[in-house]
Amino acid sequence: MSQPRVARALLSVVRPLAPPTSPSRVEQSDSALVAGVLLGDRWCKREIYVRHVDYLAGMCTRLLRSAEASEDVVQDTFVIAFSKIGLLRDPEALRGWLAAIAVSQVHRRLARQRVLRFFGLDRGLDDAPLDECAREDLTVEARSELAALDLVLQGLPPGQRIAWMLRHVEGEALDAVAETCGCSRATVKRWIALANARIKERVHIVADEDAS
Amino acid sequence: MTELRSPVKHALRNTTTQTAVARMWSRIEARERTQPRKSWLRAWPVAATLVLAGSLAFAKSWPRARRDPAPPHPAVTSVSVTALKAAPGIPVPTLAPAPPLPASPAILSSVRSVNRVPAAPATASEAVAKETWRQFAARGEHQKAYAELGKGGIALEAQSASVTDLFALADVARLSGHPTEAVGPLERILAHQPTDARASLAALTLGRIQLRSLSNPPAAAQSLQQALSLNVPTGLAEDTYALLIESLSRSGNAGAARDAYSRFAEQFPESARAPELRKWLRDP
Repeated sequence: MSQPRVARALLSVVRPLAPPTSPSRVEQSDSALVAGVLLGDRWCKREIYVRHVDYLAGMCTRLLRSAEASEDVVQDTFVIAFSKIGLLRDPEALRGWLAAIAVSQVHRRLARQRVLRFFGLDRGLDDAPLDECAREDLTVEARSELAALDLVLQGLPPGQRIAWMLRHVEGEALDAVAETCGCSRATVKRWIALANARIKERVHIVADEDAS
Repeated sequence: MTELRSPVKHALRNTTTQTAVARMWSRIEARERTQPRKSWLRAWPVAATLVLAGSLAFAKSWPRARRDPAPPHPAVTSVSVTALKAAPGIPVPTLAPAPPLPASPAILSSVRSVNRVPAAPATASEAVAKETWRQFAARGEHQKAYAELGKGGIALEAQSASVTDLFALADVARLSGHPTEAVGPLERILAHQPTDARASLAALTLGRIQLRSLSNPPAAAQSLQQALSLNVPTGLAEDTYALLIESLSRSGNAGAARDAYSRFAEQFPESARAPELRKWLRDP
């Protein structure tokens, strides 16, 4: 890498994202932005990122229990998405497609963590358990419940944990959870039911029952 | 457990900062610029190392394997024997069926203890009643659960309850307006299951009950100290310190309160609760 390029990269780290240049372009739909990316429009790429990064970063932080790991996964997700955006069949389903990529990356990361932990090599920091992500105004009691829930979730198999969290923490519909997890609605319902059974043994959370 | 409602997201805050968003975008841009070249550069040494290592291992093991073919181990499975039979020219040793392993008395006793069937309730109505308080508690109807258990029922039930049930019993007691009875189940968790991951939560809950409901600051301070020593989850550590400082101050132990405050200030230097807690350090 040449010297000027290094300088540009360093500057880009500290520079905050500029506001959108043209207000009229902000109203563009996801499909228009996808079409723009396919034509090589960098503004569209950035707009897609700005529109979906909060959702993906929040979801990944909660799934991985780590803000640092979440940043890596979000970066991977957008790099993969931009390189494969031509394969997206329904551009209006961009958010779900990005979430599916992110969840597959979360699975990979968790699998790697398991192997590293087995050999005692994982030095990752779980800095974002649920109780740590609690709203400031939440009572101690509710925080305790979140901590207890977090403990139970840690003991669940990754598939069940991710499906349950997408449904009950992120508040996604069953179909969206199935699409994001890359499996059938029936499988997702089974996973969520299994996770619910384990969670109800230890934590009493009033959850909306899944409609059929 | 009453305050959480699904989706839990409503209880959580947005953890993504604008700095992180900008940082991630700059990295994505940088990776997009360099990705094709980097992946090739990364893949090439890995592939070369794998090929070299594989060749060395093969070269090292080949002469020995030809010179000294190892006899099959008696514990070889039927699958590998079938594979050997399929290869012409290789003599296949006949394997006697392995005798079953003698069962170790220690193992048998542990299996018996794991598979032990719990004693059946004396009557069918007792079983129904046992289920009922749990169902009421699960629905958040703690008054009804308490009524089902009856006077002294919580202490009786706690004698043989699991950690989960002990938490549920404590919830039934305190949320039905009987905080004194919640102490027993929580103390039982701390006495019998101190290594359970939820023990710190039990100590914290006990401390809160002793401070707020039973007005017993010295006992609360002890329980909250225990919660901290049991590594209370990080999201609750600030609250635990706050309760501890208040308990120590109210129990007249100003020195210990100041020590606790200095530990709190060290751990949470930017806490918004610092001014509120400092007032407990003033002399009465």
